[in-house]
Amino acid sequence: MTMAATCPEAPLSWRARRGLQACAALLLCWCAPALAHKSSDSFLHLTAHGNVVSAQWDIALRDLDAVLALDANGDGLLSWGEVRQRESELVHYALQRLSLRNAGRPCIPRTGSLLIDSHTDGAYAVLQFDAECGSVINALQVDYRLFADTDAGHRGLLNLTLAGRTYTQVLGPDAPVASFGADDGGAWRQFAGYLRTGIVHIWTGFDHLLFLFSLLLPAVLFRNGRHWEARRGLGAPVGDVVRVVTAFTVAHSLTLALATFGILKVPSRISESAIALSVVAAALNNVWPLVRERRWVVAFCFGLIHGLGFANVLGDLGLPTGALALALVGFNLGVEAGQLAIVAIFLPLSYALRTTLFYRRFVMTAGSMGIALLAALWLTERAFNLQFLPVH
Amino acid sequence: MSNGSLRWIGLGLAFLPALAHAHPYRPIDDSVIIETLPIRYDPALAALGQMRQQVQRQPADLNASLKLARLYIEAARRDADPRFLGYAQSTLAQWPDDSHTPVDVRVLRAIILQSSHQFDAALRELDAALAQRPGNAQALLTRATVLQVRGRFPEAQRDCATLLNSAGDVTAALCLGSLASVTGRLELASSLATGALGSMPASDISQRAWAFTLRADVATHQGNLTEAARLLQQGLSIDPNDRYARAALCDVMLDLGRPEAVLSWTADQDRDDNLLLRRALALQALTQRARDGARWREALTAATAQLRDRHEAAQLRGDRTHLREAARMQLVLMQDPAAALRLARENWSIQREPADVRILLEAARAAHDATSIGELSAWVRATGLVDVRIANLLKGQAAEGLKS
Repeated sequence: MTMAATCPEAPLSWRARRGLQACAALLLCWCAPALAHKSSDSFLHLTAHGNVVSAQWDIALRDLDAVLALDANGDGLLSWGEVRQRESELVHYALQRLSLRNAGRPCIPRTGSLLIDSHTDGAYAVLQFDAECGSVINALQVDYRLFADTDAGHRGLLNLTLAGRTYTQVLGPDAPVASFGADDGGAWRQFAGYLRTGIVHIWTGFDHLLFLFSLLLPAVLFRNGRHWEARRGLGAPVGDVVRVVTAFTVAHSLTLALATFGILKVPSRISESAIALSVVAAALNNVWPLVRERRWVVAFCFGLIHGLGFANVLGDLGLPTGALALALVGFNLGVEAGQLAIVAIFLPLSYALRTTLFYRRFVMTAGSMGIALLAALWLTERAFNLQFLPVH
Repeated sequence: MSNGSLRWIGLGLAFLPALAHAHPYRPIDDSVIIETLPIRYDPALAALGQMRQQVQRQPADLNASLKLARLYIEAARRDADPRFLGYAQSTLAQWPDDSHTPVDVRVLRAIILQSSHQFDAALRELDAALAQRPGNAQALLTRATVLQVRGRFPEAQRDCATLLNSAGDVTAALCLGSLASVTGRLELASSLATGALGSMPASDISQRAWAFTLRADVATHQGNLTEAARLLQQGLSIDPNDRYARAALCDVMLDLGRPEAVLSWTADQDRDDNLLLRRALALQALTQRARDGARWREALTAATAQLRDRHEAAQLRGDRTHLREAARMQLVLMQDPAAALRLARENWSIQREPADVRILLEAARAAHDATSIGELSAWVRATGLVDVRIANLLKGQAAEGLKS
């Protein structure tokens, strides 16, 4: 199981929880044959943001049955009813054996929901809960004692996201306690962490990329009647790209800063939906151009919305109180660096291909249509809180 | 609508089935069965649950704890289920690690450690146990076995010889015979096994099965695979839960080019990683058959994915029990000689049985690692190991070396 490896480092806020779930679930698709016999593991995903630790904890039902005798009628089959009737006891049992501390002070779990999921070796109870730490989390201590007295082979596989970094750790009876965050700080390392997260986010955040591509695709062309024609010379395309990228950057940096400092507040469902809408609009503009020459204005206006999306990510990472500006600058520079790297690959490629029919017809028209359709799906997902597509 | 757009939509739709059960859910119906517990396929476990409660109530009762730990170890072996090893370990956890630790506790701890291939930790427990009670037969036999797996043959030989005094002829003969079979003294191994079989009662299931497996090992080393298969089947008819024998039989069948036989010997055994690997190898052999290869492809894909997931899960928790199998999976199933060589080398640093020689040799040949081949060649010479397959691999290598 490669949850740690496949989960994006920094999922967008409203997707965060779902991202975890979907990553875990991808593994299930392979579960078709018989279930494995393996040593006992639980999977503990923690994400610190603000004062709160969001947790998802997958514990094998078989292991819980061994200590709680969930199988009430003793027939060797666990029904949902048998588990549900013991729900509060089960949750209590688990939470009693996990303690989280922020800078020495205990975090108080708020009982969340109990769900069921499958892993390679059977069905798991999935505990989702938030723990309130009372102050902004910057140093987290995890004390893990689940099954410590009954199964010496049990391990808790911890995956923690804290202040822009992802940690993995194997916890068990021999090593139940681990601390994260405090002493691995150092302003530079933190800065580097945010920088990296920014780069990763722009490279894996397809909505931002597709928006940018939609605006950049026509930079090497001009509209002649109903058709796209190749521009001569490099001057005009480069000027166009610089204007679009600069406008996008200035705009999203502005709103990113405003939102991070709490001056501007927009619910993530609205900002995320608007981002999807911006991709639809930018892509459709390539098929039926409304805005032809001044696309940088579009880049600026919609860039303001994308900045709000970046702010959601940054907020999810759990920001250090003392170093908010540092985090902001690091993350923003990361986004810009990632963006420039992509433009540096995109521009020569599109310039070289601009005279081909493939680029002017297929990429410009069909490609843009495809982008618009995908973004329309995102828009529906985000606006109505649905899920059709794999987590992106 | 243009082709491009259709393609985009198609891509989106292609992912949908994979997401059908893509997240944790809350069942709606109370009567829906969400998990099958081990007790369902192994009713003997019910008694263990009760004993465990008793032991928890009276933790000072050494004999009850030892009995429960033994039953858990037995269950782990019978069901190929490492969770029971964790339970056994916890049952014995209350005794501190000092000079007052009861010898039997140390020996059982060593057996648990051995089962998870932590050989050096097992040896430490056994050394301590034998320091307290030098003639303890179980400790001597376990230490001889672990030393043999680690390739420390002279020390293993000493323990087997000591067993003659404390455990009697049969156990000592099997111990010495096992050692003889991996050090090229095949005639001796065979006669010790046959002699032991003649002088043990029919009721001694595990020793009888061991003797047949030993004779089968000798036949395998001699290249007499048909005879080895016959002996392993005989051993399995005595002890159907002997997973070592079952895996060995599958290997012989694979070498004999009889993958269908492997499918029937591994039917309903998918919970056991080692047997699932053999099954996948058999399926792979079947897909390469011209006549009906395509039939098996789907099953092979599923088995391979299962294996990969399990090895990844083991890796996540830092489990190094199945390195030999992991190497074989990489070499034959994934066809990644470099990864196989890395695993086989790591495995070689932990265990040195003929099967470990073979997988490292095969991986080293595939990855053109002359250093490993040289090391193995020297090892075979030094230990006297006689095995037709390994000899052929080394000879083939020498021939290739001459050509190039």
